[in-house]
Amino acid sequence: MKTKIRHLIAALLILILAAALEILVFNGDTIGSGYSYLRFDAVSNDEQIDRDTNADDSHQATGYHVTSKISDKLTALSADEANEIEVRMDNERILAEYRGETYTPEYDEDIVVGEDGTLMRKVRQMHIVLELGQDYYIKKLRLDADLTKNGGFQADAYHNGEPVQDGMYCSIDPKIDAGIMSVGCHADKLDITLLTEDELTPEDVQIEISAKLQFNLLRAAFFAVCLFTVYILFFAGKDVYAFLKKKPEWFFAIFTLMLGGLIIEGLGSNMVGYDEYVHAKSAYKLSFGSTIETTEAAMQMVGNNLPYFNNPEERELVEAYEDKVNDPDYIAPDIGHQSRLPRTETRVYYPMAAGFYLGRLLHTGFADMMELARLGNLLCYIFIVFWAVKKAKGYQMVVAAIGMFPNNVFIASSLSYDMLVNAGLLLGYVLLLNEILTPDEKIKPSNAFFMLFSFMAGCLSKPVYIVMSLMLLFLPKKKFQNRVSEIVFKAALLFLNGLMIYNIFFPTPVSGGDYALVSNSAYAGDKRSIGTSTVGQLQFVMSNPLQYAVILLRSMFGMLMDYTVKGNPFVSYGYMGAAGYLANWLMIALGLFAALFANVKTSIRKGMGALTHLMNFGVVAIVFSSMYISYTAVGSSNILGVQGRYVIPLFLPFLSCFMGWGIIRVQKTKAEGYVVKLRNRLQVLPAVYERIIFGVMMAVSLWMTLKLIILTINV
Amino acid sequence: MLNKIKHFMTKYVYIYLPIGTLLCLAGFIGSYLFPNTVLDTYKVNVDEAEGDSGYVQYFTGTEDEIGYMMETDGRVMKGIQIGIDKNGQALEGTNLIYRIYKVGDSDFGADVAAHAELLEEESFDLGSCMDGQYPYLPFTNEADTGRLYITFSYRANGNTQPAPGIFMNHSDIENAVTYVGGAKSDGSIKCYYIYSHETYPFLYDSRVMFCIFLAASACVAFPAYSKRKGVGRSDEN
Repeated sequence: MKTKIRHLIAALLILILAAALEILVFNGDTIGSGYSYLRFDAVSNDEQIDRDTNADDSHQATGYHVTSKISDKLTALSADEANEIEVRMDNERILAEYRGETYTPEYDEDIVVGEDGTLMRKVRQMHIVLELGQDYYIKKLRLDADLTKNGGFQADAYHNGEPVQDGMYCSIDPKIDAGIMSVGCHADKLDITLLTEDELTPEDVQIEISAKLQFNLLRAAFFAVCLFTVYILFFAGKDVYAFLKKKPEWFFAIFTLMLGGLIIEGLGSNMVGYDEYVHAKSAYKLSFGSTIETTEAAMQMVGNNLPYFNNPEERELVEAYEDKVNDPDYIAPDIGHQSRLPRTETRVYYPMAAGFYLGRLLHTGFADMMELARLGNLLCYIFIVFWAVKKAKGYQMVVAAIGMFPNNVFIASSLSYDMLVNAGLLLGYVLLLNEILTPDEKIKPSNAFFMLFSFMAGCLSKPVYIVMSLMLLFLPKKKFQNRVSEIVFKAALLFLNGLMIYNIFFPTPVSGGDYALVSNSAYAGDKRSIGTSTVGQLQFVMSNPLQYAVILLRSMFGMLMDYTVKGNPFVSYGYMGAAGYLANWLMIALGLFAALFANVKTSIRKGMGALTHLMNFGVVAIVFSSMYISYTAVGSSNILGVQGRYVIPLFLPFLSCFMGWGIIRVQKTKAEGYVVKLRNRLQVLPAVYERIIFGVMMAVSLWMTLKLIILTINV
Repeated sequence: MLNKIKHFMTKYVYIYLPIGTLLCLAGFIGSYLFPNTVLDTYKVNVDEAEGDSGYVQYFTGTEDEIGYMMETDGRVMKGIQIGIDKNGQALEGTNLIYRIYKVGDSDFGADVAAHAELLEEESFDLGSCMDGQYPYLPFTNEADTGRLYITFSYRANGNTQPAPGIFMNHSDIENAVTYVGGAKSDGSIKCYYIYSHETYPFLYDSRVMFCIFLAASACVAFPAYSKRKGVGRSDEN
């Protein structure tokens, strides 16, 4: 009873402290600013605005005036924008070729090709000087302009003639007709340059400065999670630690749900996961029966055209816009049809589709519906990994650490089928590893079923990973009832592998008008990359095997060096950014720590260890090769498109080679002796081993959430 | 309750896993034997090129024919969708008549219908579609493949309302020519080609699940075997 009261008081204190921290840390600067917001019309030529016309000003500023000047400018497109145009034109060329039409490249009218081939965009710039007349603390600067194309503005803030903040830039999406930037300084003058492709006059522009106190629930929740983690790991008491030691899967589930929840709520409708819009399209379609109703908002989501927000104020505008265009009475939705029987590969989207369906059922806003879809993914991930942690025999914390790896949690909190790849393969390999670690016990039919089912589910969208299950071929015959059952089991396993690999090259026919294009190998290749051709690349590899072997090995070891020596950050939240290079080694050290001191009864045999490394090498080689064939231009000397996250399913096989180090050998080396002693010591301490692992994972994840999600788009 | 279910599952594992294997095998074979046929829609000439504007080619009378020569690239054509302008009328009872001819390699020009082999003649009740719609005009002959010539005309059936028309534009389509009033037209019919193909909805699932059930069944200690060898069932280890 006393313990329960203690936990209850702690929970209350955490909530109060979190609210106080939110106000102090993120709103402290606005206290005493003396105003809420001021709005100005940017009327040209030194024209002074009558204060009385600005009826909604919260406070009367005095002595300000605005000047503006308009001129033309050419700005170079960013590498991403230029690449996007090139990819689009290449795909148009392929489509024209497929239809038998002549392709003529066409640029938008605002795009100019420079002499050196650089793509430039014609823009008009309006220079606005805002003399405030007195010193104001400016937290936010908002510029409203009715645009038809993307624009932006640059601002410099001055105090007593000295620049205090300069070079600040904010984009303006024509869908919300406003851009809001965080300034955070005292100033008496603002120098603003508005860049647009539209022909605006100063009368079309409105400017607002503000210093409002705005309580943000997401930020408060972030502080609450931080405080909760500290409480659980340091002050929760022996009963909690005993439970933590016994059932770490529950703590994995709670921590991951909190982290994923923060990511989902923090990102809103911003699509920053890997190819999220592609996955969003499949999941959204799957959430319907045979008739698909695609609203304008959904169409923008699948076209990756939803407006992006950079702060809570923009978020409000973006969500209002999304709700407006999601209303079927405002813009009539597009009606499409699909087969009631979705392709097998498409079924990986069910968790997300359930979220979309629930959102429609509950009539939530569009952004909330997207968040529900992501939540569906996260809950599915937690459910599968929960069982993986629970089923792990003595190495639960290794699995929990991999399950809580920031990249994994981020992917699970995004619209992505990679969630099922990571979770399915993790559970499958846990069940496989259990068999490897118990060579004298027979395989249970239920284990065999769920193991292979998990591998199959994990490989539905990325079949190449099915070769991980081939480790089962090396199980000793003692694991089977008799020789016949061993042969049947291994033959079925080989057949399963063969069928899943076969389906990559010869997929089961799809329904719909794209049948001929999809099933035509002459057009196979990833259309996000230029110059791809599956058939062409295969011919290149077959005719230059040695050259390809060199390309493959160089690329594989190049990536390994990038992440271990050259300083490329690995631990990341998709396109939001990465934690920094040091986190790579922190995660490696933590993984080794978790594996070395795991409470396993035996280690895997040396031969099996060597096979595991060989399997890892083979899977990586297959992943690289698949990207070379499908994503890289024919004959290229580099392999494009391989990302570090593709090796995440191999973390557990790799770490399994370190589990139970020194247990079997009677004559231990000095190092082995230390490891065994420390392992024994750690296992009797009150969940110290578990708390170290959960603590480090939470610290890294919360740091990343603060840096990449809270401070970047929620302040 | 959970334990009871677990116990039941463990006890009868030697029954339901082999049954699952057989069911999946049956699904595997059945999927091959009974494929699902689906229609593919190919947008051929519906959007106008930049600067072009579509127009309607009205029938001048019931004898008037609009012809369309096309190539199916070896696939059996299952139908066509053309845009119908009903001239603002209901056209209840008026039929659109379409005939499909098989054309060889010879070039008969506009006189093709007189020389080619008539494969089928179908009609479509114009009263059943809306003005501006692209109704599906099904083809039923399995020989509708290769070079085809399709003619469109209408039968008023006593209806005195103005004649309907077909949407066209000025695009050039590869391997297709439109004939109006017996002469090659400057424009082309706006249409969708309909083909079909076979899908195997449960093939992938049943074949991978067959492997999984088979592998799991191989791990079962069947009672007869256990009795003979004197070993317990694997799940009870």
